[in-house]
Amino acid sequence: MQVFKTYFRIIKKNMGQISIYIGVFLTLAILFSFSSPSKDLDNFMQAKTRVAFINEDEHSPLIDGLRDYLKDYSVYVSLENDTQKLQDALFFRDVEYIVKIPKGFTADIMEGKDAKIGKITVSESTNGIYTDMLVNKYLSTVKMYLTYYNNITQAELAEKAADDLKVATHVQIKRDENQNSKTGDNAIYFFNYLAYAITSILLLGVTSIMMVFNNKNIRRRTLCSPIKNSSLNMQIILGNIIYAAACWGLMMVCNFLLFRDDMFTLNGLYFCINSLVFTVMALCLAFFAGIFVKSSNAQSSVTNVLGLGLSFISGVFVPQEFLSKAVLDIAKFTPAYWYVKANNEISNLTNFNIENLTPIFQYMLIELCFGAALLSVALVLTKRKQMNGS
Amino acid sequence: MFRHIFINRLKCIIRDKVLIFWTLVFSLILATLFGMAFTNISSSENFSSIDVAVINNDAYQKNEDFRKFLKAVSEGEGKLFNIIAATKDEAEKLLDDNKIAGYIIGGPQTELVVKKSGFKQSIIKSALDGYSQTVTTLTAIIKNNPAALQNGLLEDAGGTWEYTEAVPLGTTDKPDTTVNYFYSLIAMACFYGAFIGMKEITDTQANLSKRAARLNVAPVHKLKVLTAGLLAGYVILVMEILILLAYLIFVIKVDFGKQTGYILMTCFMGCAAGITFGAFIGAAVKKGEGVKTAVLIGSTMAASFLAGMMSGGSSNIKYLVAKDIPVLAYINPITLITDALYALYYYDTHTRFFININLLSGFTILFCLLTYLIIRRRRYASI
Repeated sequence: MQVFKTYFRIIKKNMGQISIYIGVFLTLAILFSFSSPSKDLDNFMQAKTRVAFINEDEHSPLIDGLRDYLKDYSVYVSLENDTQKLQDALFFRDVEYIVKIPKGFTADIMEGKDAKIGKITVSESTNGIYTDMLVNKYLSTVKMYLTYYNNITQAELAEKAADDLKVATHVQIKRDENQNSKTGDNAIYFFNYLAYAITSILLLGVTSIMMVFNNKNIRRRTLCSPIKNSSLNMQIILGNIIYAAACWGLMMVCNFLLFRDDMFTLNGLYFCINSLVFTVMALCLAFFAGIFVKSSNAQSSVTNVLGLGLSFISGVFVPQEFLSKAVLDIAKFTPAYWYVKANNEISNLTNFNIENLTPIFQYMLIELCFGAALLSVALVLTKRKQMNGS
Repeated sequence: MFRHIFINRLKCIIRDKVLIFWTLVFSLILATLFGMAFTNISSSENFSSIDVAVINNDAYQKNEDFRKFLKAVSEGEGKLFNIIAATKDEAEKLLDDNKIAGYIIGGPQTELVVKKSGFKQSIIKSALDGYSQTVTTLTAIIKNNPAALQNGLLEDAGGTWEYTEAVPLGTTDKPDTTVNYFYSLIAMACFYGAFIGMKEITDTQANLSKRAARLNVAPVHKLKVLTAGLLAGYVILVMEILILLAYLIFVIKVDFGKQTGYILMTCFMGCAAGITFGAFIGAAVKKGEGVKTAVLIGSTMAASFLAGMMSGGSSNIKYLVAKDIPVLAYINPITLITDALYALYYYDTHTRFFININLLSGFTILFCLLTYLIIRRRRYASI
């Protein structure tokens, strides 16, 4: 088992680079596991916009009323009234709607003048339109009372508006009858991102090995050693499989530690199966890439370009629903696309019947086909290389 | 002599394929990937009319006001809803297939049926709330002042009024948050140019390479050699950044604003900072080339991360750093370049832009000085 031992000696030498990828991956995974919003699926939750409320007028019941009314529909962000700070906050969407009450607004409204509230928002954004609708609703209610209600004071006005605006529509959430409580929302980020980590780690490891064993002088030396070619290949393949399995296993251990609740479900099981299938594919890809990589410079460029490239276009970093159709059409020719698609389907699974599971198995099969194709091309190329005696 | 060295250094850099890959090809590839991944994100926050079904039952047919209200909100430009009248079974099916966000059941108590909570669903609910609330308000007013009915109360209630007006802020009312990725990419590319600066030091410092040792016995002033080399590197880097900039503007169609002169100035300054940074690292780090490369990549990546290249939206690191630890933003040259481009894109004043540019020049001068102090008057009796 000399070859097998050498395999892991080479891996050990490259552990520095490999552990960078593992480290970055785990840091992100831990961040994901903390940033999980808890979702209440049974009750309707009013959506909330991030709003900054800037009052240049004096405090008045009317303005306080507006602020209280918006509270149920907004997350208030406190910001200084400074142009650049407001711009920065809006650009990075820390706020999505800025209410700016001009000086003398209350007085103008009470006198029946045509006063307007300033708004700063990303134009045509859904959140902006939503909050705009609410502000207008409050002010039109106030205006109606002011115009038609006899002898109304400002305090009464604010109180009446607040009471009227409490009227709410009943919302019913429709759920499938045999739907069990759904989890796996956080785990999906972990599993999608895993595509990048696994591809990079396997590419790095496997190409390092191949670089050594494919070195012309070393190959010639091994070929004339008293070891059968098939045994040599078997040992390398065994090494590859154990290395891939170890990487996958490590990821799964972290995964179970971080997302314990999500993992002990059927969704969790399918996530694991899918990631294993992807690992097999990534191993074949790494084997294929290993044929072309001859120097450590080429290695780092191939690892980076393949790892980042596959992940960017197939929805690992940016969810597939945000990618344009043209990009997705290209991405369909990459296995990572089908891996992410399968993950998305799995996270939506609530009914584990054959009808819902079939597409998932189909996607996994596509991943395996990619792997098989890459592997067979790689084997043909190696054979041809050997025949040419190079 | 200067010209001779300059031209030969140009050739040396261009023929170094690995160097060209990391300083040019890699950033072009990243730009393409960013472009593919981010083009749709900014349009995903745009509002589009929401598909809603309403159950076509007796209550709905009888309630003319409610029908009028629904008609009003589903007509014209910037309409809120696309309304489909359907039977209950049809509506259920549409909802199951995710063709509609929810359906409305009219009646004495309006009811909304949805599948999940979200912005679209909340907008439908708020519109329906609005209708019921208006009814409540009208009832209260008529009770107090029956004459209001003759004075146009209903017309007022039925109309839509705008009580808000947009306050302009910055150069665009629709800032595209994804441009920050591309700006930090340019900044990163400038600092990957540090590899060129490092190569120049390696090739002129006698203790770092054999070629440099040979160069040192030539009867040329060392400062002349180094200046010619760094200048050649600078010319190459500026070319590369211009190619990247042109690619971003004309192929990926990233919005840089309109101030071309200032944008180019930022790129030139960024390149100078990048080259001199590389020279500084090359001279200051005494270990082998591997360690130098690691220091370069490590610091560039960490600085790019802090400049917001790897995070989006309100969790953007650049924004958080500027808000909570502003000092860190001022001492990070990559943030300075990113922020200068951002200021040109979004601000209508130039104060912040010039602060960034001045600090960046400060860094460039500092790197130059430090490099000079480290490598001046080095003589070797033997190597």
